[in-house]
Amino acid sequence: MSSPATGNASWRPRWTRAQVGIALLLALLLVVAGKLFWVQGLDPTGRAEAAAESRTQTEAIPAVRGDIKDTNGEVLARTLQRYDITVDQTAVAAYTRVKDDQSTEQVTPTQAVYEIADALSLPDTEVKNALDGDKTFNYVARGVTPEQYGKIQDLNLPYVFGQPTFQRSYPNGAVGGSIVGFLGGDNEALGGIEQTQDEKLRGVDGERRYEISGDGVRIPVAPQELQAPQDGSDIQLSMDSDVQYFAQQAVSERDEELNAEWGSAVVMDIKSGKVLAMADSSTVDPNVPGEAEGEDLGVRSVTHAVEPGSTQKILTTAAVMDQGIANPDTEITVPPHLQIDTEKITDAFDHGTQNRTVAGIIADSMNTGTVIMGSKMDKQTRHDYMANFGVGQSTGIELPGETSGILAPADDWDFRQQFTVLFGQGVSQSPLRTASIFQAVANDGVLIEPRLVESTEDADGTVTTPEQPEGKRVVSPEAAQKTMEVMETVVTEGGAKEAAVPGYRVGGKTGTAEAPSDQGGYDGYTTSFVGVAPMEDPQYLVAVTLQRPEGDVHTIGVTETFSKIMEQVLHHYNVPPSTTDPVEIPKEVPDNLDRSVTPTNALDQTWPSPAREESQG
Amino acid sequence: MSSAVMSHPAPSSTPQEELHSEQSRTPLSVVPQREVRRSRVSTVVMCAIALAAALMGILFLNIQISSGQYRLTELTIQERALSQENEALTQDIEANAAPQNLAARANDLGMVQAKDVGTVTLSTGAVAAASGVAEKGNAQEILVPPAKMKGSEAAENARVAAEERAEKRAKEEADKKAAERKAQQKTQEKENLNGGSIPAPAQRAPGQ
Repeated sequence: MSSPATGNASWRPRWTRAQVGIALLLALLLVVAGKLFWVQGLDPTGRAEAAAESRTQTEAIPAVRGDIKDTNGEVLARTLQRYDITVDQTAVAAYTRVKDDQSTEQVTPTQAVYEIADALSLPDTEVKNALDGDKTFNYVARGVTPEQYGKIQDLNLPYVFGQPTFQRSYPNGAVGGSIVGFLGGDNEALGGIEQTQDEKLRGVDGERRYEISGDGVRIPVAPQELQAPQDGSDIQLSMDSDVQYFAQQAVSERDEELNAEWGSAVVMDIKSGKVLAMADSSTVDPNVPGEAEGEDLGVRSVTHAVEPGSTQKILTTAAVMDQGIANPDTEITVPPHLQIDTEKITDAFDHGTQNRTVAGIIADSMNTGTVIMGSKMDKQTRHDYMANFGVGQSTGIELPGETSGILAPADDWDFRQQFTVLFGQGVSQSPLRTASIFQAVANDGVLIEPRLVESTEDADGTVTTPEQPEGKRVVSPEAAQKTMEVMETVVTEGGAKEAAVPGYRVGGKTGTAEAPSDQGGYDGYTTSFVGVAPMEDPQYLVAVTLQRPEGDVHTIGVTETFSKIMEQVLHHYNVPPSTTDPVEIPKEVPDNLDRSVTPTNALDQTWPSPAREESQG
Repeated sequence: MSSAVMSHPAPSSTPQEELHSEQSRTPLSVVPQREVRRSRVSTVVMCAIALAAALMGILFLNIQISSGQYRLTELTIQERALSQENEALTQDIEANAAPQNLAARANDLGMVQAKDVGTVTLSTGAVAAASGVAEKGNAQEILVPPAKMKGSEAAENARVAAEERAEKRAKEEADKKAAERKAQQKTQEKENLNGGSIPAPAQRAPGQ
């Protein structure tokens, strides 16, 4: 205690060596604590944040796109897990890989190229090109299967990454391809139901954040955030794959036979307006939309407007019946042709002056007779009936690019057009619209706009049915029934005997129109047949259209194709065969021929009003 | 302890005096009973054991959590692998069930379209037979191509089969044409070519 040193230097604190040491250590501790506080507490350089950032891995969890199913629940479009393999080109360098047994090996970029190429079954040069460069992000391969991605992961290359993505897969391919639609390169919906129902199918992407250690293994106890994705809804269509396939095959066969530009068929449920099939002779395979012709990407029954031709006579007939102008058995004298001022209207076949029934006029598809009865309505009434049946308006079906067709206002019709619209010329509409006109007639005069989407099922299982379009009465039930009788006569006695289906009562109407040429004028024909069955309780409708078939005008019809499809449809849905006999209306009553009728005065002829006839009888 | 002794109330005379006066007497004092002391060592041991146990417990829990996490990860990976395998198999089933592929295979088996179907009228029990048996015709040409679905072996097979069918059909057609040409040639050969390779006017015999 009493050392001499302390005596002669009294200003010095009398500290022992140990105290000095402790003080020093304390000071050091203070510095360390300060630094710690600086780094951890204040963190002015964002070091902790950067560390957390480098540990934190953010992984997008893409929402799974909903499936598209047909009416039987068969999957038409499915989402499969795939991975996009990407590379950070700036980071490509030799790399020391730690193998499972802790031994290390040097992986040169060249070796990596070979390994990646093997794992993905790609050419070496393609992989090399993908890795060469100075981009921080570049695709090596897109949409590889989980199996291939697993192989890439095993390579453990620090500059190659896998991004989860999905691939749409369409098991039925071209069967209903244009209806189902397809996705573009960036999973952008570009066609069909995929496009119109994209919002429901897509869902909302989620995100997962977690921390990884230096060797890339996830730290189990570290916090993680998970924002769950909301998967897209499934869409169920009213389309029936089997019917769709059969219609497509039948239309393609006829198309090939006649070397036509295209053929299409619509199959519809009459009572609900649901579309069961919309076939095209050639269509896109949604798995490879890039390989399809531009023409094949849409549903032609929806996107193409054609002159309906004689099928429109059914609309005229329904209007005439609805107006009480005539009945199916009303007799009208039809001259060989009509001469209305300067306009001459002829028929597709030569005939003398005949005393025809209305059923007989339509059965043999006479333009003259149709004009005589149709012109009893004024121009505006003709227009209004057509507009009421939806001509000139789109149906609102859930498909992109629908055409509304062209129906000019009655005042804009030229002199000839006011007569030709009665037999389907000077007006254009989609084959689907033509089908829906027949749907209305067969459904007791109530038009229900065609629809494809039956229901939507959310990811949580909630099923919602879209609001169905309300039925719209376009003609009276009596008028519709009478028109049906006329339609049956077309098949039993008229020009469409090949449309018959053994065992069933069938009614319908042929159509042959001239197809407008791109160069102006007309070239070739559009032939069609629209029919319904069974007549006693109409359930199904088939409409076949063929654009510019090659051959004689009398041999290019599609009645046989109609019969083939209709037979299959009736059998497919187990429709019992008809037990009642078809209506019989004579086509001609030669005894009552009015010889005073000439081509120039034919429009002026009158006949007893059917309404008065009924009240008398 | 010593303080307790010190604070003990002193007797009337000091102990020193007594000690000096009565030398022979053994001094007595009331000694408070010593507290029963637990062994210091056992407390430390207990603490150590408790600490160790706690540590072991925590360690054990940690190991459990970690291994649970690893197992979870492992199972998640397994689940993903299985669902991906399931996905691939479903894809194959759907490829095989596609209508055009079914039709093509039915064709290969020699199946043909039925003519029409027989019916039983339930109310009367009348049976209407089909109008006739289906006839074996030429194999139908399937005009709807199989799907070009990626990543499915079944779809790939269907595509290959369709190509083979098309090739076979083309070959048959070519054979048919060749046979026709041959038959035509034969009929031509039957014409007398009078020694030439193309039909030539017959030579006149001299004197004709």
